[in-house]
Amino acid sequence: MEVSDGEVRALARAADDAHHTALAQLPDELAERHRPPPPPGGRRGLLRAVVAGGVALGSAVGLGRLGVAPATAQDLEPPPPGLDTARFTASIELAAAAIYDGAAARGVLGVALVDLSQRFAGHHRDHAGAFNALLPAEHQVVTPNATAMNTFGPQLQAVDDPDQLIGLLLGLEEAAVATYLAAVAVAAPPGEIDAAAAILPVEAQHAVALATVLGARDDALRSFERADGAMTLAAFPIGPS
Amino acid sequence: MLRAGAGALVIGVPGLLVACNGGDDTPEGDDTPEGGDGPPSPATVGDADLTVLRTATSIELLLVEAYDRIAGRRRPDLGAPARELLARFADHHAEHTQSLRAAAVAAGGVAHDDANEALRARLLVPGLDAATTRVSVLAFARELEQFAAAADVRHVRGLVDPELRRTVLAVGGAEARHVAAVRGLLAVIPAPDAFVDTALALPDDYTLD
Repeated sequence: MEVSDGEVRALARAADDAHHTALAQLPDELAERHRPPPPPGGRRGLLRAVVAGGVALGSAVGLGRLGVAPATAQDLEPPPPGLDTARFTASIELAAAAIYDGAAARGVLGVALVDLSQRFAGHHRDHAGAFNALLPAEHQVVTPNATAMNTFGPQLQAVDDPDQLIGLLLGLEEAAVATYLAAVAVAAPPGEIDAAAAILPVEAQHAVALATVLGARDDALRSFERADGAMTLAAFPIGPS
Repeated sequence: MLRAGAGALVIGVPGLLVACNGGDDTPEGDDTPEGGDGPPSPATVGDADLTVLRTATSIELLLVEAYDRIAGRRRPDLGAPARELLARFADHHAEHTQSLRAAAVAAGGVAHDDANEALRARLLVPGLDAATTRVSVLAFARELEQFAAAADVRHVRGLVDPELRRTVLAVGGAEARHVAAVRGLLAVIPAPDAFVDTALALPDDYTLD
């Protein structure tokens, strides 16, 4: 490990204020840019993109690392119109937060990495909040994506090695990056494009941070983001709101 | 380098590039409100997107220039790991340039050749002047990459063509990774914020016509 526990913990604390300042501004910005739902069929942006971008799975640190079965062409059905776009991403973000929480609670990671996991879990909850802010209250998502939890939960419990656990989280982040890159590839309401664009780079940074912990920072420094490994609605359906 | 006949003007407002068409290319009877939420007309889409691509390319060219100038210095001694990292960033930005230039040509425009002059004056020159120690060079690199990533996020919002959004965000994500890597060398947390702060890319006086 290249970063000491004390360094990571101190740095995480120092960054907290800046994080919450940025967070405090985002929901207002998103809400202002978001418009009421367009006519039926119009709010499909992110999910259509996720579906469209989910064909080429299998990046080196993508879902394969998590043991998730890649989506196939048969999975790529158009999502239903309506409010599922933001709901899907909110459910995935809540799952990511829960997975980090689970990782932190395993007792496998040192104090600094537990702290880092909690910080990143907080980011993912904030991301879920940004998407939920686009939704009417009755359609906001409060439960993690069940498929994601059922997929990652057992893996989370099965690993006893810190590096394996960090590798699992790294794969999750790379899959999330791919999901958002796929998401912006089709037309979507402005609020959803804004959120995806503002979130993808952060999850890419999470990946770099985790890769650095593994001593593999340079592997995470790519010249372009890729959409392969994107999570899809078909593979990770939304539960009831 | 607007396409012939286009009368597009891109107005930058926080988080949004709004294309206002001069009228020549607007299909007769098109009542889409300018800058509104309705679908833009085809003519407006192309011109606005080409403007974004030109600006994004000019930023990438500026970053290539910045890292070239840093690499050409003997002092401060950055040490091999930092020097190699910045060289890698320069390679990435050269690739980004090529990608954006190709996208512009594919969209019916012209590949942009020049580094951004406004940012050279505002970011590059003072940044290089201040970069006299290893830490200040790395801080300058962080500033450049933060700016580039934030600008890309803003640009994604302004793009109408869905595939171009992916093209630009694929670049912006890579630049955010650069930020995290440099922050690691500076011994600060690599990913402190939950969202990209697009205010880092303001004022947008660098937006090309």
